[in-house]
Amino acid sequence: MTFFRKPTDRRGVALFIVLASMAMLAVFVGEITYTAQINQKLAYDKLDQVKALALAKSGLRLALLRIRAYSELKKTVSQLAGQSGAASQMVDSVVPKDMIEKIWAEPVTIPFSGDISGLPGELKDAVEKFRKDSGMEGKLYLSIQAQSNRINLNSTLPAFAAIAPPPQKKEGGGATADPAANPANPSGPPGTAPGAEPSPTPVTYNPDQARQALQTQLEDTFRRKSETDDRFRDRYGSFRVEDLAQEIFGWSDLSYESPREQVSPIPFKKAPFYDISELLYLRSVDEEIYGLLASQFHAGVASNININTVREPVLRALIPQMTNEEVKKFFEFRDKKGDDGLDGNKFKNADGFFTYLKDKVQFFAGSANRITDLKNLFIQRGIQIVTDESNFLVRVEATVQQTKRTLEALVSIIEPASAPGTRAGQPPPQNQPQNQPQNQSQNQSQNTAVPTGARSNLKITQLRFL
Amino acid sequence: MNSACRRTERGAPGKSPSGFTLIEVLIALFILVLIGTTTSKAVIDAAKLKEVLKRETDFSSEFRTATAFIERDLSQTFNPRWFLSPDLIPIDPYNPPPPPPPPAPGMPPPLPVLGADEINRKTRGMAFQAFEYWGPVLDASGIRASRFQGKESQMSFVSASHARVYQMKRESIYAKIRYELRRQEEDGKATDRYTLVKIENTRAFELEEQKDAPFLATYEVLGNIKKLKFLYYKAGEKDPVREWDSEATEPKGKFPVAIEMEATLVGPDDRVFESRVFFNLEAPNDVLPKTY
Repeated sequence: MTFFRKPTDRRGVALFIVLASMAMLAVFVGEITYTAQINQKLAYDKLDQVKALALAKSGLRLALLRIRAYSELKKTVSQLAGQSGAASQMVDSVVPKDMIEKIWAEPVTIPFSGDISGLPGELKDAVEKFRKDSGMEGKLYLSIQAQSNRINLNSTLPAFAAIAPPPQKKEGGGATADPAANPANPSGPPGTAPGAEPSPTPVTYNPDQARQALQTQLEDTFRRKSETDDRFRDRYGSFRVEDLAQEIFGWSDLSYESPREQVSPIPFKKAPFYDISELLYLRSVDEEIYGLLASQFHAGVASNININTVREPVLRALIPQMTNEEVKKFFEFRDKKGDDGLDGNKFKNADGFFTYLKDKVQFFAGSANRITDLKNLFIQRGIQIVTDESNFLVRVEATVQQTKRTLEALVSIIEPASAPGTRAGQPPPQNQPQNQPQNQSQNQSQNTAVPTGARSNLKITQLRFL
Repeated sequence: MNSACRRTERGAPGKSPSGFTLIEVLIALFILVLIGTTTSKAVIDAAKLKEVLKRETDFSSEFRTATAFIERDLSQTFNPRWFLSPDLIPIDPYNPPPPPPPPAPGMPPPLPVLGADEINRKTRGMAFQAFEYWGPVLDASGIRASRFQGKESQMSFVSASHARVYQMKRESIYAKIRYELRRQEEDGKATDRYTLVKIENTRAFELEEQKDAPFLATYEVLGNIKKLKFLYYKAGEKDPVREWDSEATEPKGKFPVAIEMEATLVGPDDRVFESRVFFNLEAPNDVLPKTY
């Protein structure tokens, strides 16, 4: 029985086995719990996504409400001015443009997180009550940006160009359009000599001119970029802007026969641009050129340029006669705030802008004819200079817990249509009656009167969840 | 008494080696087997549970991803009809509009507008045809309405949901998208299960479809489907319809406001899951008011 005599120590083996088993079990239980937690988190994330989406849509509704409020207030102010017989300039000075634009221009975070300690008692209580009552689970960031500060690629298409109204007859028979354009003969159409007969065919939109102007703008854009960027100049020194222009026209214009169609890797759409990213279908456009063009052009329904929000490259493209110094001074002048922190020198109307050019830009200095030519050029190109915004990019970021949903929408204020087929986004017919351009409604009757004070509409032309 | 069998203080120095009695060993072995059996069973069960949980997690995760895919595409359905007036009467090649009246004195002449024949010529005779994703030309600028077609086992539409991943790919935000059921195969043989696939064509504005083109991307969205059907809801109606064609379904030119997906899926361990998911077309399509 020597077996039992060997010195051995088997104490605690059972305990060890139990502990090891327990440890293994703990590992498995831990893993299962972890997996279950992950699964639960995924489910909650999905729920958060749904909540965030609903919140983003609420944000869009709120943005539409703000744009609607802006549109209605602007209209009410104009109507009040009209009823009281006050001049629009007077109304503008009483109701600052900046003040009205704050309705849409100010970014908003909900729930309001800003410091409200400085607010008056009642307002402070109201904000606090709103914060408490809203009971929102997430956060909403809402911004609305002006879109009329870029050139519409579709402006070369008659249906999307801003068709300027023809000069209106005064009671005495004179035309009211731009008396400053022809001081020698203010009652005549722009550019006519004193005593001359009014031209039987006023300046009107011209698709060829519009195309030529867009090509010039593209050339100008490339030239300026090459001047400031050596790498760009080296890479695109031999780039043919003409080819790019031909591709743009061929892609978007059904009536245009582009020689570039034969070499295009993708058949031309032959319909307007719906989004600026369509440029990437064109053979001449690579990533860098796309970035360059997207900063200055957009694809939309309206070809208005808001001179109060326009940026430097677009202004240079619109009026290449301005020198660098004049461009700099223009922005210093326009963006200077008044003592009240509002309007400052924002232009009240397009005429104010042309007057500025006449007074401050050497090329136009004191030359009514050159200003008239510029105005006519804009008409021919289908571009309308405006001072109120009507095209907006709404961006809503909704955050619930760790989930974020972003929504972008392009929204336009549409004035009541003058005819059933009127192209949405066209500038409203002003001072009826006018000749409704047939391009706006090939199939429709013409000259339907705009109801006075009719409610303008908001139209969403694009909605994306990013 | 054998000293070796006596219970003594084991291992004490200077004493004879001691051990367990047979009974002790047997009892210890019995306890060990009992504990071992119990714990090993628990461990094996836990391992099985973990596998089951993992499979179910993967299954539900796959399903959620698939619905997120479909939701993203459907919610951003795109229709260029929004660029036009809601009241526009489309060009009718068989009933051209009368020529516009001459302009009033002092008014500019109307701009030349392409007639139906010329539009047809410019588009190589394709102006007034409907294609899989596009309807006929609506106006002189060449705008076509996009086309939504849906059946129980497939649907196709144009969406603004495409995200460009690679630079230098000739793609925009638009894509033609088609969801369809395909029979699943195993070892080259057809099974009784289906896979839901998404076919994305980034050349969104080409009218005619090309098969097997390099720019066509096919994604398997959801597998192990026993049964799946799409149902389409008209605005203001409670009961869905089984088919939709925006070029044929009355009222013409309209898209469904919501789509229901009813699916029977084979999950882990051949268990059958049934689900109903609703997708809304969030973008302001022709059914929703175009003006707010």
